Amino acid sequence: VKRLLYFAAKLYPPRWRERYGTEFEALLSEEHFGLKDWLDVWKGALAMRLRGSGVITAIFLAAGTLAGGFVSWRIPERYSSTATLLVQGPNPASTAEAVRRLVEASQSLDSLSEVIQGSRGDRLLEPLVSKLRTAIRVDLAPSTNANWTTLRITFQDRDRNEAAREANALTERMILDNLRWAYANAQRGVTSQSRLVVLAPAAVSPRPMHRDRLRIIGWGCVIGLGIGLFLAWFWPQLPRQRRAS
Amino acid sequence: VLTANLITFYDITYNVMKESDPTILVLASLAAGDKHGYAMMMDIESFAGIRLGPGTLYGAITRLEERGWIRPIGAAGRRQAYRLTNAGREYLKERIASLDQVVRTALGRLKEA
Repeated sequence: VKRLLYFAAKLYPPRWRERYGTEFEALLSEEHFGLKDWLDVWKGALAMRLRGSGVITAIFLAAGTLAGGFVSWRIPERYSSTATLLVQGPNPASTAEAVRRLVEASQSLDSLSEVIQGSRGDRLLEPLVSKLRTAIRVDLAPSTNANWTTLRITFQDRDRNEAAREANALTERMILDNLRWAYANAQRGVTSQSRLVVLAPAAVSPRPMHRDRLRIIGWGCVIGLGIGLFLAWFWPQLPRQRRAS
Repeated sequence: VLTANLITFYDITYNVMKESDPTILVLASLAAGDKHGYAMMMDIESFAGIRLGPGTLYGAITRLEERGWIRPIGAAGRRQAYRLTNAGREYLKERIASLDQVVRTALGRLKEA
């Protein structure tokens, strides 16, 4: 611990060490200090480094927040629309299988292409598909009954109507897939089928999402604060002339 | 009435928080005579039951010396002793009077309750 204490004492700003370093080390050599004291020395070193350079930290914090605010302001608004479906099977295993199949099918390239073609005509392009893949989110809600599971399909889009249209197009696609699968099973003589019910179709989102904006501003704050603290830590180490210039 | 109580509560809390500042403990320790850092630590622990860490103690010493409330006197080896200045003594008197007021107010209210 003694070595750690001496090391922590070296973290104080050079000017402070010039004045108090010898007597501080004399104090540290007086007693067997513990881990708590080591943390206390660290805290003291940090406080001394930040003294007088709090303005730098505040400036960078403000700059980071402003930059985050600017970036978030430049980002176009996005609307989110969610459809809720219920999958019900004759037993838990077949429900789980149906859910897996539906989720896989919904996120296949074929399915997404169809959704885009349906809502955006002939503007089907590969980047758009990959963009849509990031916009779609399928959540499995926790099931309260082993025989059924709810699915939530969420689409985000810059256009509020598009978001709802895309979510509903994917819902339709899922219903069709389920019917096709039921038909194929019926052909094979399997009678017990899983059911897909639309609990709530996707509605047009009234307000844009702000979650991403807050996150961007938050990151701006954190980055600004990080840079500010970093500079404040090394500020006392810079020679006076350089600081003045 | 509510506003007045809130103001009083704020006043008491503010004063108590202010008194928990280790600088007051250092000043109180030096009021009994000149001491170096380690002696101050031991003295504060004996009269206040608070063990100041080395970083906290020297943070307080730095601030007090900058304000002119204590000053270094002759060093004995690597140890540096400090003495309370007149300004420091005045400040300590003021703070103790303020703390006394807080304690008397709190005691009075406890009796009323």
